[in-house]
Amino acid sequence: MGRRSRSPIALFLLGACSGPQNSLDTAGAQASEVATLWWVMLALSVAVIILVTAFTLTALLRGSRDDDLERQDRRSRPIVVASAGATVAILLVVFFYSMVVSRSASALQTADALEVEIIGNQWWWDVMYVDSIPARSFRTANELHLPAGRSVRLRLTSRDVIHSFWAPNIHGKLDLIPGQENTLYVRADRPGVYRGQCAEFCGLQHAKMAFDVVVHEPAEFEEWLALQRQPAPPPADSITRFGQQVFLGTACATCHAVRGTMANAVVGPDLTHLASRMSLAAGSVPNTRGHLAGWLADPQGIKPGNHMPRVRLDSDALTALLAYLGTLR
Amino acid sequence: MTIHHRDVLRLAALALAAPALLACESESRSSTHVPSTSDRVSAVRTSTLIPGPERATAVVVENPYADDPRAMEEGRRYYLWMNCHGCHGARGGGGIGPPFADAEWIYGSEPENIFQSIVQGRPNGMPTYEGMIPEDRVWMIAAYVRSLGPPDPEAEGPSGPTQQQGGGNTGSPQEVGGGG
Repeated sequence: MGRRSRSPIALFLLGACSGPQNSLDTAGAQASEVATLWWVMLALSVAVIILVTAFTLTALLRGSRDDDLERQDRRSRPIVVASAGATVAILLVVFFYSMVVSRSASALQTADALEVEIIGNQWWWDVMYVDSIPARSFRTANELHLPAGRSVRLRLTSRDVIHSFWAPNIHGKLDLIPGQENTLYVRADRPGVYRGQCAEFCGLQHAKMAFDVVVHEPAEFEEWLALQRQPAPPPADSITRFGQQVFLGTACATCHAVRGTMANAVVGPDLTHLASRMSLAAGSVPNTRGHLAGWLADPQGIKPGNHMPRVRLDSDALTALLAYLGTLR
Repeated sequence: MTIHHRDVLRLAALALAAPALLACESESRSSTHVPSTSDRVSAVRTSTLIPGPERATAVVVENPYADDPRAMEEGRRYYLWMNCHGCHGARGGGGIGPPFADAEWIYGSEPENIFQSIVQGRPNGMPTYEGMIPEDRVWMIAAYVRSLGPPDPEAEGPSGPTQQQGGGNTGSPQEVGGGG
């Protein structure tokens, strides 16, 4: 992307307008409206700043040629009134424009909206794709997949403290509040991979509470859904079989679920399709075998204070467990 | 004694700067790695009844997280996640299982006794969590469970050990609807 000839400033300016976590690099209709509002407000503010600066500089440099203060006051009165009127007018325009934008951004309710429940936890996202047939519902974590061009109803709540859902390329923020369900309708239009993050300080690892947003073409999304609904395949060889024994026989299965096995706990993220995810520990590290090994060996090293304990495993058990988790595609 | 304006300003500046400087220091966390204690804990005896002559068998294992509020908070989470509250009550008030408010605990209320009870399980319903919860988290749960217990009997005061209930007030206190 960045050529070496470009100056750092130009790179910075360009970088500010694109990227996986950017409200100006829009991927949906709502984010576009918000971005337009942002640009309009920026333009207005810049115009006001330039005007005010010009007036101030003129007044400072030119000074007054009249010593009679009362006459001065009388002469400047129309200018003061006009400026105050213009300020009120600009503020009113921005006020009503932002109201119009927020109204149209929240008007996406449709009967065929996909339903996704997102539950905030310290410090990860529990994501549930809800289907009218319970057996077709499933859980995943720290990853939100959306079909392009279709309204999605996000039901947001929290299990511990207040979090805030924010995927800037898609829409604005909305809080996840324990004991209350907030609804956010979103529609992503441009397929791609984006990033979201918790936008309400929620404790020690608030900064490492991110998630990936993947917008698919509709057909591709159906494939993803079908894959995620599948239970985990049984282990095919001896090492993954041993790995599954490690998973089920140690503390892993006390908190995590892998559909298709006896492990069905809901304390930690569902790991049924762990290997298909992009990142580990809520966007802390990329999902590679090495990072996963590091995470399992010492979760407190990567994300100090998180609630996953270190489970003592010997190297054979760890290797087998990694092999098994690698099969959970 | 005169107080100069400059001194006041200096003091005010100091008072403002102190919290700002403190804020730069990140909170330090106790490491969650504790050396394995299971060998020592397994030498702890639940019963004092020993055949033959009396022997010095008292093994005391300190809870590495005793009085660590952050560890107790983590212990509280695990207490709920591991469904301890299903039997012992959300605040240790008991139910299917015995309450922690009791002054006497059947299998002992010392940290090592609590650790053992969680890890080994106990008759009549307490399951064993051996291998299901890492040791450091068991200690955290033990620290939290201990905090639910009665206050130290040596500590005098209104919150000390309460008197046994019962006595004269066991019947219905007042008949309802008697008129008058």
